[in-house]
Amino acid sequence: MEADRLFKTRIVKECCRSLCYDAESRQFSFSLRPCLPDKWQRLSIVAKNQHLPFFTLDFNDFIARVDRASKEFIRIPYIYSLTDSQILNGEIIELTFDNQLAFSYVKMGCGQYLCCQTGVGFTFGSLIEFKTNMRLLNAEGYFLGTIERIALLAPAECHLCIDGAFFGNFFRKSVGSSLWSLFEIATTIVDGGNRSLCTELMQKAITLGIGSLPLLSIVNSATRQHEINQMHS
Amino acid sequence: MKSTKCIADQLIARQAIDDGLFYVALQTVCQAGRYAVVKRNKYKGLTYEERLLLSPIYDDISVLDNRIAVVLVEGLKAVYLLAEHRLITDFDYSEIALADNDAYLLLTTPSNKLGVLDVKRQSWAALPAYDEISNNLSSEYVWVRNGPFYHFVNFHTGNYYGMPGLIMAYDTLSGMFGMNDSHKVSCYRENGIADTESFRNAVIQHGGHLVLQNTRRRIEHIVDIYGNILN
Repeated sequence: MEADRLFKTRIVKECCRSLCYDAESRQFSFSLRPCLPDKWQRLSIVAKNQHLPFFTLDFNDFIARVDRASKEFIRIPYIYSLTDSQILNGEIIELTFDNQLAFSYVKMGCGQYLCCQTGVGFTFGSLIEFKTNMRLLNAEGYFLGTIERIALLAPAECHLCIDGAFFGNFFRKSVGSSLWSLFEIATTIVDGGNRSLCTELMQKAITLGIGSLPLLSIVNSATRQHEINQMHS
Repeated sequence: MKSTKCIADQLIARQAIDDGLFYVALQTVCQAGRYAVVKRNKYKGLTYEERLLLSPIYDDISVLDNRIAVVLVEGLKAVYLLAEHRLITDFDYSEIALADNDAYLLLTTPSNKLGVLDVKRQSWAALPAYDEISNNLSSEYVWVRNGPFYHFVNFHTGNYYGMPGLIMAYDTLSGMFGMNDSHKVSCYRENGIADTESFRNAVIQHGGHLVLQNTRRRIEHIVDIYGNILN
């Protein structure tokens, strides 16, 4: 790992807590610890000693990105076609439909996707090929829209640093064949508020070989589903 | 260090002196199977079952295996093919060693440039122009380093593939994998363009995290599907 990323991973370790759920804002995040100015004062000396061009503005910018990690990503646009077998479990595909609404879907298993905006699971089947100008139907034949644009949402630097700080050697494990167990644990936390399950969630993510971006996308989908259910009830 | 021309002249002169020393018996210095390194005056030669293959006019001779001997004159080495009784390189190298299960010869010039000679085909797999060459010479594409940048050579065709801005390359059985100056890893096509589709397929085949190694540098990188290094 390059020196710059090692230093940023250290920032995450010192300035952030592990995954936690805030019932008030209904959001899973790697929340910031208090007394950040004091921590930066120490870290800035480290940066100076290591001759890293990393200053207060960079620190503020980086910390802000870590704080909103669930909304940060690198969009890889202009994808014209992608089959289910070409998408890895935990990858996020963003589909913009002809009504200009964009929805992102996390691949949870073979042919199975979870909508990040609604927390609804979809089965498209293992033979699905996402293509532009394609009418997207789920396995039950329900029409979701005509795909206008396809993009992949890749982890940003802040996710790689969070992975380095809290996810141990998750990369030594193969990505699990089904990620639904993460969604189930997250639903339990959101419904019952049992926050101690966050540790279990982290352990499960490491076992399933996935990093912070897919984890945050999956668990925050559970909060969206909870919100929608509450609105309907 | 002397030029090849100087060395050839010197060998002719030494041969003339040795011709006059016919009455001095050859002394065996060491034996390698049926081959023996022999000595007369202060120079060495080579015999096969007591038949003289190389006159005793060389500073040193070492038999690498039953196919190849390395002869040394004035600090410079050349490759001698035992079966064909002939030198297949000039006296241009400071080091010559067998590599990759003895299929190749790794040659080092006095200016520390490395080249690889295919022993079976008796042709250059990689000309002696590189600062560093992969350990893994049996791969489809073998990485070579020139200055800070890595490129690839296909040893079967002898083709060289210049890669723009690769600061690390990995040993893989097939394909060309490297890291660009933005620290992103990818698979590269022969025209030097990143082949994201092949890279994506390779990562998926390996369970989502691809382990890439550069054994010469003792580096192991584990990368995700987007080419990010995770370890």
